[in-house]
Amino acid sequence: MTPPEQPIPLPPIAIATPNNWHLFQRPYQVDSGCRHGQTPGYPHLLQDVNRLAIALQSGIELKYRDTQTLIDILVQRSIYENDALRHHYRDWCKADLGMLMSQTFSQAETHVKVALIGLAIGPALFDLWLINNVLLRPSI
Amino acid sequence: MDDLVIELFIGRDPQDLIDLAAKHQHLYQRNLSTVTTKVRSKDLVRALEIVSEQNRPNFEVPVDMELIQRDVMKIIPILQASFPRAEDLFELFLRRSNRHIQFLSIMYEQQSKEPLDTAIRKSGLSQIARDVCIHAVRTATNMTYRDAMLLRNALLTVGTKKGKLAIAIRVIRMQFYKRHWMQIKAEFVGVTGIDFRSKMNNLSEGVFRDLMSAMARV
Repeated sequence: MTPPEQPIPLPPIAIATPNNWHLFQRPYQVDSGCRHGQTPGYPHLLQDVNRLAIALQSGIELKYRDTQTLIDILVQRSIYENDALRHHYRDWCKADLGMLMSQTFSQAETHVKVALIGLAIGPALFDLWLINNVLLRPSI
Repeated sequence: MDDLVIELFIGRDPQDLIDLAAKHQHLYQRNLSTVTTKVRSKDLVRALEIVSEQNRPNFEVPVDMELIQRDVMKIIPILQASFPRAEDLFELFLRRSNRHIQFLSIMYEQQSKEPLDTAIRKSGLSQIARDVCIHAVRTATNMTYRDAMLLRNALLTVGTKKGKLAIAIRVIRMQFYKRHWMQIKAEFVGVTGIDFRSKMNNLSEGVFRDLMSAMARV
């Protein structure tokens, strides 16, 4: 008698988002689709992390082309991909993307700084950031 | 600042508010209801107090048609009054589910021959109370139109620092949801007759223009 088939364990990195996942998203939802215990991912994630790390290396001496790189990468991301990017950036570069963005653009004009921080941290954290930095403790 | 408070808290899905409050407590060790202490308008404080009760039914709760009819009968005299009490309207628009407000809006328009948001805009409410009620109604009835109007209003002051900040915050919050964002841009053309992308391409400032143009193109 053959033993019953064992379930195949899932790999630790699960790309759980179908390409058209955003079609079914409710606007302004806090939940990005990333589940606890799951390592989010998307194709070309590693290249994006690498490009971001190189662009942000220049610190406050950020050049125009580096800002353009940040824009090119971050604007295209869905909220799930945004979570994935932040998660992997923290793991591999040992830095929080939102904090790094805040430090790098500390001298920039408020609206530019706010926009770049928002792009880097995603909708839920951006709402919290706005509550804390604009409403409760106006520091920008 | 009042605009931002309205956009962040009014008409928000009940579960999102619960999640935000929990995350805020976790990250900043501070209760979300402290926002109320920073708001000056009494009407907005009252609106936030109602919202912070977090007891608004969600979209799945079936609507009670008799209750809707009673609500319409309440709203008509309130909006016709010379000095309407904002709280009376908040009790309806901030405590009912979005689906309830959708039906309410349809029945109100059938009976008074005027869209509900237009009637609120023309009413004798304070500016802030009007903004709260219109935001709640448009969130339930047509969120795309609501957001297109928010962009249009922000663009009126885009020459100022405050205006630039408002447009940056709104565009960032909207573009996270790509399909919704496409609909907003289409609605924006319908509302203003202007393509949002070309509007952003015409901004004068370098990095800000590049950033806004890139988001407008997505």
